[in-house]
Amino acid sequence: MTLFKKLLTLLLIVLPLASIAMDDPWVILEDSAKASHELNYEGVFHSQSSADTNSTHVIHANINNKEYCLLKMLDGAPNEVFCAGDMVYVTSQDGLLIKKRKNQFLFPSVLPSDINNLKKNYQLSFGEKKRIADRMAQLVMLTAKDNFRFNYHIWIDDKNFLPLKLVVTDNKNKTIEQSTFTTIAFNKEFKKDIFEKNINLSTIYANKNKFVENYVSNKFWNLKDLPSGFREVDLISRRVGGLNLLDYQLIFSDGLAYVSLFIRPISMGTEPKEGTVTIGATNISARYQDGYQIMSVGVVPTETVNTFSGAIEF
Amino acid sequence: MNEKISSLFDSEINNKEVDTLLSKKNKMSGVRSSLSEYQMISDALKKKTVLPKNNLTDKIMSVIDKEPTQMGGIVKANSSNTAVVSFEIWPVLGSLAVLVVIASTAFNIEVNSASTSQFLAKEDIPQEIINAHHAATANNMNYFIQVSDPAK
Repeated sequence: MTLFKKLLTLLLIVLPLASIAMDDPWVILEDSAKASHELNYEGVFHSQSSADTNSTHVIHANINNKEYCLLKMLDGAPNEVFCAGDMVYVTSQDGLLIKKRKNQFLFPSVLPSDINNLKKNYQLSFGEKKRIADRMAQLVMLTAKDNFRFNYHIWIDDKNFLPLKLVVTDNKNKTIEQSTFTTIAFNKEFKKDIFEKNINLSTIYANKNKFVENYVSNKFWNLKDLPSGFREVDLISRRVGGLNLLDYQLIFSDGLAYVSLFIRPISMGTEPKEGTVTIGATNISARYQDGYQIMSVGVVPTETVNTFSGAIEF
Repeated sequence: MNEKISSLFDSEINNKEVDTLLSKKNKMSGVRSSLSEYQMISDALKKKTVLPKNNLTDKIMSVIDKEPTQMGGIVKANSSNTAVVSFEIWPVLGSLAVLVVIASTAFNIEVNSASTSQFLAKEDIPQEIINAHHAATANNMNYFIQVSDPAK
């Protein structure tokens, strides 16, 4: 076999595989998740949830493979959110650290880097392209395959894949919450010192921190029959009012939707709560079991929070 | 007459008709008995405890006692295990069925009333719970910034 024939054979094998990879519609979400962590951009986005609306100025940069962001509220209290690596901090106007949290899934970084879990629980389809913040964007719809989650509509920048708009709708197509850029500019150079304020994060936070961040070795509960696709992504424990008791917040996610499951020891004289209630876009399900008040909370359907609160066994 | 008694418990008749009905109650035992039954139904619907467990059991037992007892009413057929039920037991079974329906209706009312309390008020949920959830999970930074620190 001549060299030409060998190359031709190789091409015939590789080309169909390459076209399959290019045709995979889910690749756009992987590209989008990557873009939201790697791109440098500055802009203003508008958010709406329940009756609240607000605008936020955002600067995002990736410097030496470390992600930084600075978000400033343009309405209400002029607090700032500062992201560095895996942590997110809120600082007040005078630079005082108020709180911090793990993970970064603040808009526009809403997509998980591993989209395999999304494939199992959402149906992907493409909508029309439209102009958002003076840029063309492709609509990608993630429709829930069951009644345990809402639907996500994401408009992704046609050129660099950054999510420019997010709309969450329920099963009746009613909007639950949305965020959209009104202006955005890319490829700006940012210096590290605009993100790293002159505050000693560890010292200030240590003084105000009442979380127990130690590893919880004694998980005295079991979880059964959780809704499909939800996995535990975090566990926070807090000391109860100076007593030698802890309450727990378990956080579950399917990659887009989040549910907190609270396990709190109930104090003497406190009436246990049982039932469900909707507050704004948030559903809450409460149950009492064996001296513990169990509450599940999330911007998810009622069925989901009910399933979570019923999933605990002691 | 039963319609009037029903209206009495629904507060749908005037004072004059109430007087007439009560005077008939004193004269006619049938009316007295109907009034008693409607009173029980009315109380059950208003979720009053009208059928204490022991009292109900006693009533069932007393009705059963009054029924003629058919000894050997159920006999085994010679060639098979099929049970043959004597016709004389039907009144007993009928009475039992009626009582079971009445009792289950009373208990169902209680079950349903418990399920309606499954709807909580907004005030039943500590705000710190909602704040703690949004502070840890919201992709809308407004939630994250504005909620008070759950650890405070």
